[in-house]
Amino acid sequence: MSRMRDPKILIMAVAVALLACLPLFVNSYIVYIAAMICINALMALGFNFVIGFLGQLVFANTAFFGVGAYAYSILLMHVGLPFPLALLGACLAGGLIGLIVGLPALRLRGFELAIVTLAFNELMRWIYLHSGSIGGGASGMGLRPATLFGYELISDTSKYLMILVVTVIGIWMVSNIAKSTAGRAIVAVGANEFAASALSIPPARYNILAFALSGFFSAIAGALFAILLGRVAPESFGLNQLLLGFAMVMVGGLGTVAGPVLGAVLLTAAPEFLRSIPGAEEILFSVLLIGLLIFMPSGLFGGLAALFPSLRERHRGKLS
Amino acid sequence: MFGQLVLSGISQGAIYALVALGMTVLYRTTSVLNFGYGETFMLGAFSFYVFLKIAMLPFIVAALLTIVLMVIVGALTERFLIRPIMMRPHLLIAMMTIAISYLFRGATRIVWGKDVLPMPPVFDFPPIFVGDMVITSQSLVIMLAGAVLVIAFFAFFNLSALGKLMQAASHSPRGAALIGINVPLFSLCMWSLSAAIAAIAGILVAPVTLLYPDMGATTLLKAFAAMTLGGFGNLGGAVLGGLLLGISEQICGGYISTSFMDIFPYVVILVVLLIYPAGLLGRQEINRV
Amino acid sequence: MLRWKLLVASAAIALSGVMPAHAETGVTKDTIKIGIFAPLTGKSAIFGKYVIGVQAYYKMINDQGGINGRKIVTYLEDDACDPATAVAATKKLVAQDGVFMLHAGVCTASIMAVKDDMLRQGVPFMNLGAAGSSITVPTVANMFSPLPNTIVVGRTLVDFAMSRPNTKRLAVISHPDDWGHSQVDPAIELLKKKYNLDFVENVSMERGATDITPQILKLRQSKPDVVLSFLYPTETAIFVREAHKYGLNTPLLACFGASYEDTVRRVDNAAASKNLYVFHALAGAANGEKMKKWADMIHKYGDPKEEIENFVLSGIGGAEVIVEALKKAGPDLTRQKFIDALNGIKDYDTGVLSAPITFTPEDHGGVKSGAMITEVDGKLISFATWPKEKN
Repeated sequence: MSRMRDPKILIMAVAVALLACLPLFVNSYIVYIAAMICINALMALGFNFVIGFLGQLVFANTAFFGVGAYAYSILLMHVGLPFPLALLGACLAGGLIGLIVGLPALRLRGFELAIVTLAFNELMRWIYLHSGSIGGGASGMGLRPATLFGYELISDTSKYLMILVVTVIGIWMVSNIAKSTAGRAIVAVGANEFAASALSIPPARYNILAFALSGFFSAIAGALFAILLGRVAPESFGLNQLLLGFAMVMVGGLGTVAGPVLGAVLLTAAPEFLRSIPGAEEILFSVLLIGLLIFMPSGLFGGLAALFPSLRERHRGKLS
Repeated sequence: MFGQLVLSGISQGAIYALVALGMTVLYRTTSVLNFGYGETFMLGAFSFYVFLKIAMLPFIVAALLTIVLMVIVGALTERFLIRPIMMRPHLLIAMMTIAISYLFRGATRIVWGKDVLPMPPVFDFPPIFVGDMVITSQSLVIMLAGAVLVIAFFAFFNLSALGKLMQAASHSPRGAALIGINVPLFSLCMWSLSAAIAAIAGILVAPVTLLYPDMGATTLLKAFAAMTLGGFGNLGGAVLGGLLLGISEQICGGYISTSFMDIFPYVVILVVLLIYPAGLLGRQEINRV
Repeated sequence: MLRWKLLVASAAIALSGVMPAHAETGVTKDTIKIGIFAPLTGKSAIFGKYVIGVQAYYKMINDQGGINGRKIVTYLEDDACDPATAVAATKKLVAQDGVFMLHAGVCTASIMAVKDDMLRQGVPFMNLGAAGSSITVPTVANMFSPLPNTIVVGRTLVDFAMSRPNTKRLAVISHPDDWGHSQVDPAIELLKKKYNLDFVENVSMERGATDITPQILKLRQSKPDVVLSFLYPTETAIFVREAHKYGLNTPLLACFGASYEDTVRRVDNAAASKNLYVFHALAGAANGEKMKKWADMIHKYGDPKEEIENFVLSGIGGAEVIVEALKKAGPDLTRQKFIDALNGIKDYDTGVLSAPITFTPEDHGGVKSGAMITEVDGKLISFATWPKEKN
């Protein structure tokens, strides 16, 4: 087994090294888009914990994303924490809010859960809008640059490199969690709660764990988003953001690690080419989604994995 | 002021009730919750605008054409987008309805991307004054049309053959198939019926609101709130929930705070589902096997 | 290992940054690149109309031979009034398209999101149509705005309302966001200070709301002489229409966020918009004699069927000032020379805006006044004080 995995790790390392060198070859606009891709990949991975691994229709992820961004901003600007601690605090806040949203999910199922989380999302946006001086209200709040080892992360390149490092660590964590006993237990609970409890896997605990993990990773993405933009504003956390994250997970492939990342790359880059045609982005997303749902329900990555068995992950979600 | 608020609440609520009813019909009979229903409603309102204001057709003709068009849209949606994945997990079908919402919104935006369309009041009689209260012709039409439609729907549901079939299917889709009901055809009919209800809601609301491609989302969430309040999946509950939501929203705006009005439906959803998930009339559980 | 790579990478980037630039970014022998971003999609897409007049003006300048032998090339991006999208659009314009300057932004939040970055990079920035006072107050070296800001708008509405005979009771409706507050707060302050009055009712309307019955009932109950509204275009139209519906027939004063012609078109009910007055910063009515020259220009260099209204015209003033400063900066154009030239603009009469524009190194706000426009006997007329014809 370990002989099998070594080349993969090597390939990954080379890929990360190449990505780190990206700013040498392209302008700061492309670097900014690359940073956005990293952030969206983390967000999609967070989303995937409940929608893919647990197989529940949950729409709270923009709320988690927003909580990450606002928690980071408040910790940085009002509490005065240094950047690494504020980032950590934001992740924990996300995990906590995930846990809180996970509690009613024990009682509510299916569409009711979807509706409650959709409402929760809108409620959070209203709170940002009316946050007054704490969150900056409708016009948002400007942030001071993150400082790391005395160096201010101002340029696009420095922000990108930091975001890339955090994203790589995040993806590594997610893929380890997915392979772990806990990760498989989440998938088992999602697939069949009764069977899982028969195997002495307590469904409630793993349900909540999936929500907390989802909140945690979405919040990292949110905090990085705030750092990249240098400000937070309620506009960024609306229904559009939710549907975007959703489309990324679906297009890439539910219940995998590579799927959401692939989805994030595609759906962050594609709209940049369609910027000035109103509606084109939505048409593209819908055609992609409809085509995949009918012909390749396991998503693009699932389709690729079917063609190239070596890509297959050992921890597949319920739907693939 | 109270009477006026209740009145305008009823006319708002009638729209919520219609949209909630349309979604509940589909949910009860095919167990699909259509997340694209807000956009179906939006498409109905836009089509009505095109027939009435651009093609300059008379009101009745434009309304009928809108309904026919939306019935066709509903049937096409079922036939080509839903039926191929009918046997897949309900999560995927819900996702398909979200994809459909993208499609409708994108298509509308390509045509009317930059504009918000105005509509003149269609029934411009002078408003009626009852003491201190103003009853505008438009809200009168909405209330009357809403009441007639709801009564007609329940009569149809309880008395006609197709209605009885719908009742049977809503109790047990599998049982319905076993006794020889043509399930695909039945499902096609339900999608069309549901789209027709959305079209009617769109026709009624178009003259009192401004049309823009993103108008569906808020309506969808309000319909969800209405369904939850009345009892999820309960047909009568959808109507009752819609009316109550409309009235209480207005009263909240009038007496508590106008800025609280906008999250009122979300608070209703959270409170009802977290505290008393059955809603007012009890929910109808549908477990897809 | 990773950190080592990062170090190499950042060192290389630092090196590439110090390479000397031979010519100014965005300026070639025969072109000057100007970047524009505005909302072409989303809830505020109506404000995208600012682009129309501006692009027509630049085309006309090119047609007349350009500036010091150079033609203007515009690059247009959509920001959807979303700060994140605005940042991406700006990066694209500056880093990828390599524009010389930006003439952009209709939403204050979008401009504020890119403000620091543009200052750092020294990119000259002319506000296209946003009204937030935070763009030019406090003054930063590279940001200029030709248009009146929200403080001016709030005060103008109060003064105009109070110029009406026998007027004591003013009420106000606004969006409960910073944009709304930035206008309502100066209005409240002025009303108190100058006239020793308070608003008899102050209600709010969320953006995107479609039903405002409770707000209108509250307003009606307060029996106002005049109602001031600080709402976005869609909401203004809903407000005007519903106010009429519920018999709130007092004069309505709308802010710069709405345009008279557009609101009337959306309301589509002459009786409802009979008492409507809208703030504008133009030298005359959009369809009037003074604007004919600009209307003809737009029809010649843009869409021949373009409907001429407030938003289409209001951006032209900024474009004129840009062209004037580009001329003054001379053939050896740099960003610094251009900014210096802008700072030297004095009493420049644009012909399209209501007052001449003056920039100084300390003050980058151009026009600081406006007037109210309304319809009298089928003609649009602009008034500084309450018209005798419409008491």
